[in-house]
Amino acid sequence: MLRNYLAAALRNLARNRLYAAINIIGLAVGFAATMLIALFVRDELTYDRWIPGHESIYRVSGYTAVAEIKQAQDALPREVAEALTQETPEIAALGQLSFTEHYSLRKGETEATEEIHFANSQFFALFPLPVIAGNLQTALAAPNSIVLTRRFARKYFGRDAPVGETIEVNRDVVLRVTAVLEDLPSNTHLDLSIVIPIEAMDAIVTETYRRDIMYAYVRLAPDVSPTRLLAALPAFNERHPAFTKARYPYWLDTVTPIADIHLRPDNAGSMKPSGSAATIANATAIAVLILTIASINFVNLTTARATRRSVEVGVRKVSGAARRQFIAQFIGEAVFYAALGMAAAVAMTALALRSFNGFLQRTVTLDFARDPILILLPTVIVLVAGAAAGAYPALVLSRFSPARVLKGEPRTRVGRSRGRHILVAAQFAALIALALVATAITRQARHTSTEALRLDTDQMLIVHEGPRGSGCAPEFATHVRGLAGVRAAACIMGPVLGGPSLLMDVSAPNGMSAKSQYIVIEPGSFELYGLRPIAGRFFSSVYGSDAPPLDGKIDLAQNAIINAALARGLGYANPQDAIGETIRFTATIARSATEKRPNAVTEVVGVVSDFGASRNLKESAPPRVFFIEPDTLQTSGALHVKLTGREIPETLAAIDELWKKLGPPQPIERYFLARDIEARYGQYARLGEMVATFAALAVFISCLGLFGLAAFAAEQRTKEIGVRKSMGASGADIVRLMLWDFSKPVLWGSLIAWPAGYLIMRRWLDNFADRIDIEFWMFPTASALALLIALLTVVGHALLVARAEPVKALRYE
Amino acid sequence: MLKLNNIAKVYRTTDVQTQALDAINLEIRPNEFVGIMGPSGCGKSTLLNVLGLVDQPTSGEYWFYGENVAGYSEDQLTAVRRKIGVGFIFQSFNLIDDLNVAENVEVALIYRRVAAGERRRRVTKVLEHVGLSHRAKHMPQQLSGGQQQRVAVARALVCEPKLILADEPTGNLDTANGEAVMQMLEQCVGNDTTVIMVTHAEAFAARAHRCIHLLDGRIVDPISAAA
Ligand SMILES: Nc1ncnc2c1ncn2[C@@H]1O[C@H](COP(=O)(O)OP(=O)(O)OP(=O)(O)O)[C@@H](O)[C@H]1O
Ligand SMILES: [Mg+2]
Repeated sequence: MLRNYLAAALRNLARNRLYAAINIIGLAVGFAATMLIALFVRDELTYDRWIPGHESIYRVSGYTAVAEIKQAQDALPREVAEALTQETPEIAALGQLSFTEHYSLRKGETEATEEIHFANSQFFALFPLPVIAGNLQTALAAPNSIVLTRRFARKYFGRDAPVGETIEVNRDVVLRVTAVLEDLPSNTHLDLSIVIPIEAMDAIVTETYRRDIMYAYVRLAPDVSPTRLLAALPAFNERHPAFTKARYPYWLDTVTPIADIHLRPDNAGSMKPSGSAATIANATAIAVLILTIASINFVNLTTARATRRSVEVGVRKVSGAARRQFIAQFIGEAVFYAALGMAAAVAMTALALRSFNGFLQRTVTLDFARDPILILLPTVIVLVAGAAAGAYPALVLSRFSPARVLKGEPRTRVGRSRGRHILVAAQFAALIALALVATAITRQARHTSTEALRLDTDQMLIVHEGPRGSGCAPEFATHVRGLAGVRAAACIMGPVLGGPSLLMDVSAPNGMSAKSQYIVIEPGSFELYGLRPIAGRFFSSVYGSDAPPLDGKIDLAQNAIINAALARGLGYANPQDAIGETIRFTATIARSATEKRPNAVTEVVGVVSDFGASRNLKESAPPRVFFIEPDTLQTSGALHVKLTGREIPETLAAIDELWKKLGPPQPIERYFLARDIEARYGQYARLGEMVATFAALAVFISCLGLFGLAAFAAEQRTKEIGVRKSMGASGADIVRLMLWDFSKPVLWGSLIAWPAGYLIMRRWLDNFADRIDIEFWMFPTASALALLIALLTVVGHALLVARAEPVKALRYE
Repeated sequence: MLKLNNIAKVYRTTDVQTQALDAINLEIRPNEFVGIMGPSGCGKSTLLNVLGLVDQPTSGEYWFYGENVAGYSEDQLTAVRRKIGVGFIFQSFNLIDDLNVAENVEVALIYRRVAAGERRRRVTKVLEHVGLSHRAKHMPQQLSGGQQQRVAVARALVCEPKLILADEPTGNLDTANGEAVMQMLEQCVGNDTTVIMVTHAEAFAARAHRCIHLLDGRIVDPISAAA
């Protein structure tokens, strides 16, 4: 019995190779796309959940505050964390981890600047990361230890387990490898590759504040709920006025399970850009849309094909087959197709995974043995899609009266049923909505990394900023400016693109005050980035009062430039009003030059636009004030070099050569600003590209489906077309007839897709402070695209059919 | 064993209502060979479908081997058909394109819970009987019209039916092939098997034990039918 069914199913598949191929390929591509997105979403949702014992590990953090303005900070002074641990019996252990620091490592000929973290000896007790050599629990016990990941063990030692070998930091501190970690997967908030004990810090890190501020992780004692710790924090703050009144005042107020860190919004100083519920929601929506399109295709094509088998249904019925036997037969066949599609999809996913991971910077794996859900979910999808695709034709066909079917009536009503039209319209709706979402995401991504920055970042090279050497050493900077491939260069200290930085209180004569970022520049810095003053002027060496005298006397007048956000914050409705005003500022987190001028007075000479953006993009550019401070720049500024764009390799080599000759004795650190832009906003650009790619796939699937349907409709109407042609209708007439049939669902689909698409776009764009507008043209364009796809597919097919000889068409039946 | 009392069949479409059968009273005895004749559209196929339980009369009583099946649900009709064994032969053959000759014949046995070995034996035997053993593995499209109809006859006979219903079995065939099919049907008659055949050919109708004439859904006597 099964053989008889199977014979019918397989021969039907073979005889309808085109349909079968279209159906299975469409399904496979849809499944594969869905699977990739699902893997991405799963990666997002499983951050840090794979770390053994993560349930009892929490990050403790809080905020700094100036003039009652809070700024959440992920890291805190070490003494605060240590005091908390001592005074709180609920805390079983404290793990401390530094910010990402950049220092050079050297082993023999191999030397490079690497991202390095410092951690206390308890850190790995809280984070028992997978280790391939050495004992992690004692790895940070000796102050001269270093723990590497496999990648760096290979880079410096050429092998996986160089335990006991030594390596140099900063060309002077010698450390011994005590353990080698497996490279960390992407789904962790930790961005660790090289870890050195805190005890070695004094010898390596010169600035005290970089040694004092760290992330604090605690393990709670068994059965202690984090709310108890949270409840204890206000009292702790009260008990320690020393902490809240320090130069870096800090209040504790947050206890975060480590598994939740990734999806919390970014604070100042997070290790990796955080994920967002909006991204996950969008990715899921796209997966659902693609799955919908692919499934509708599948249902439509299966139904269309099934109607050609009405004779089989009739004969089987007359021979005594019951309805449920048909339902089982058709569902069985559809599940079989879906399973073929899924098998192909798994193969495609496995093939695509490498580039997918490379592209999204993930380490997602398709490990069926480890993840039963990877087997379970596809099975469920195959069964559901198969049942859905099989049920419709089964129900419709099995209801046919055999008397009618066997009389050789025009084969089918199902082919043109309203159900199918609704499904095709739904498919177009999904397609149009997807096109709209893709438009919003890609345009916003481009906007974020270009116009929203309001900076000309093209060909901008940044040379070494940092404590142990600055690209702004005068002799080096002068020589760089003289290179042929360099258009101009300027020294800047502070985040140009935006991001956490020193804050100061600024107050205006009108009594208003605002918290402002503080950035040190030199004349020509704004011009370098293609900026123009929106009021007043920029700094220039012709004005003596722009720069303070080199002796750093505090009470002398010095000019400042502020950005539009600060002008607004200080109550100037028009930027022009701020020009000539005398502002007063107080550094809140004292460092270097500002420490010298606790209460300086300065005149505003210019206002610049709000270039740059906050790192999480949810807030617009912060208020900023700009000064000239040559001494600060010389020690800790970065040289921003605008290249001409010609002979880039030669110019880079020349800069490296200059550094070796004139710079401090350590490797040069230089990178294009594009790298920073990519690191910050790359995830949005990548998401945009991903969505665009998946939208293209969806278009492809829809084309396949439409082609199949067009072929089916044409075949069904071969006789009609033959008759019309023998009556003198031209090929064009026939094509026109088919076109209208396929244009209608696009129009209906638009009706649903426009409002739905608008809502999804709106929700996505709400995540950005500086966002593109949703413009009306996007909607008809998306529909026009869908229409074009429909028409091209149908015309393509119809032309083939219309060219057929009328005789042949008539003989078909 | 087949008894129709006042059977009517009305087709309702949105705008028109067709009285396909009207007040049919008819009795058919075992081992009879009955011919049905009448002009196109008079209700012959409809009558045959009602007799074969693939269509439901709108009103009236239908005693089928001792059971009044009028008003039975589709599932009940299927069960009755399986029990008694009804073989159908159609004018347009209605072979399943995706199955070969042997598999097409086998379909008639599948739903009657015949074991696989037994099925193969009976298919082989019946194909021999209709002279198509050498074509068992051919697909329907590879056969001539006459051969296809012989497969359809084999499919009707393989379940050893008590009732064979043939709707213009020779309509699409030339004289020689028509004669062959006719002879096969004649051989079936008797041994507890009844054959009812719709035909337009007077010569074939004359070979039936008796002939029923239909006109506009009613049974008429031959004289008035001719008039
Ligand atoms: N499914 C249906 N819906 C509506 N009317 C129908 C249907 N099937 C048949 N009829 C009508 O019922 C009447 C009888 O049809 P039937 O097929 O029984 O005729 P027939 O005697 O077999 O004709 P022919 O010799 O041409 O095959 C016709 O008038 C036909 O139009
Ligand atoms: Mg008929």
